[in-house]
Amino acid sequence: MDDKLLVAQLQDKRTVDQAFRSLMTEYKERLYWHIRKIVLNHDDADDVLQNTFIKVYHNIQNFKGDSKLFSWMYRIATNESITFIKKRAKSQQIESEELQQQLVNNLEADVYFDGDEIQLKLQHAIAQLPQKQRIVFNMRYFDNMKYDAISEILETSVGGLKANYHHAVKKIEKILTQN
Amino acid sequence: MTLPELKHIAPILAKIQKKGSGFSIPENYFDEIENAISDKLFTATLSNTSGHKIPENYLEQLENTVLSKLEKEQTPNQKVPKGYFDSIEDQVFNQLALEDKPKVISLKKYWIPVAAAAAASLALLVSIYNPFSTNQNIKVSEIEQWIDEGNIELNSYEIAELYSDELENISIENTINTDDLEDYLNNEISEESFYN
Repeated sequence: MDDKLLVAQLQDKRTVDQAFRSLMTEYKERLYWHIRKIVLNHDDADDVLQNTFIKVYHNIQNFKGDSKLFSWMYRIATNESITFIKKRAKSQQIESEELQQQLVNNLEADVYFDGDEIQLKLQHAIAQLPQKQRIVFNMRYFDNMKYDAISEILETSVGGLKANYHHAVKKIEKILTQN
Repeated sequence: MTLPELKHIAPILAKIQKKGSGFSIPENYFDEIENAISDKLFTATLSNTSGHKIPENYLEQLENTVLSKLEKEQTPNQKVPKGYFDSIEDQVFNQLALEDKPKVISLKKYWIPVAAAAAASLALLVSIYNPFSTNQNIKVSEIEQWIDEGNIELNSYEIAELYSDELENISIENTINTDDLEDYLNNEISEESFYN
């Protein structure tokens, strides 16, 4: 369905429920995997995904169409994921980076992580990146997203994103080589 | 960065890229997510449209409020001295032991006020019913004789009642040595006479 039509239906009280269901069906998997690679745990990803869609529902009236609907929703999902990590770290009275290490350490016992040894090592390496590099790396490396799309979502220049990704790749490769 | 570029600067990453992230999901998870979110939205809508409002921070402080109330209920309003319940048994037994002892009537307790009242009454009566001139010296033997002849028929209690106001103002502590008085009463007055 065309984005403009979908947005029009979402902003119309008579059609919002049906349109919202279509929206979830269209984007649920992409948004889930985007969130999952930030929070790592399935249950947490599920919570954040639901909160993301609820936020979309409550704020759709404010969507002006300045960016693509897809980008707008990704931005909400990214912010919700980062907020979730910060809140969880605060509740445990630790830094976000320390929590990120804890989350990746839990992967070994996670029933919803099927990765082999090198995939686990890769996740450990990603967890050592600064937050923005981590998000950019995931979007580019795993989801093959174009820089333009990432730029619109993260509201960062393409040049900046390329630099972020390049640094991330070099650092991760170095970690994997050392191990 | 295209895959060939990745191969050039990060061969390991290029090699494992096709493997993916390694994450999996519960079976049929994506089939039910719309319903789960719709339910959550419905619940949120219900709570937002009930029309009821609560004070700011009410729910955040609810646990503390309830715990504080519970603590008050569990603490009795009347406090007892520290260690009271540790020594209450001994105190009760001491009281019981005291109650078992025979009562001893202290003469000092009863006869000091009576004797004081009698002395004061005598002095007053002498001044009231004095058959002699107030300017004359009165011999003690004459007073004794006057009393012996039955000119005074009031007992000491009646006298004390009659002159209660005056008696209250009489201090005997510094004028009568209580030990001497007790010795005197024990030696000079028989116990039987107390009860007759």
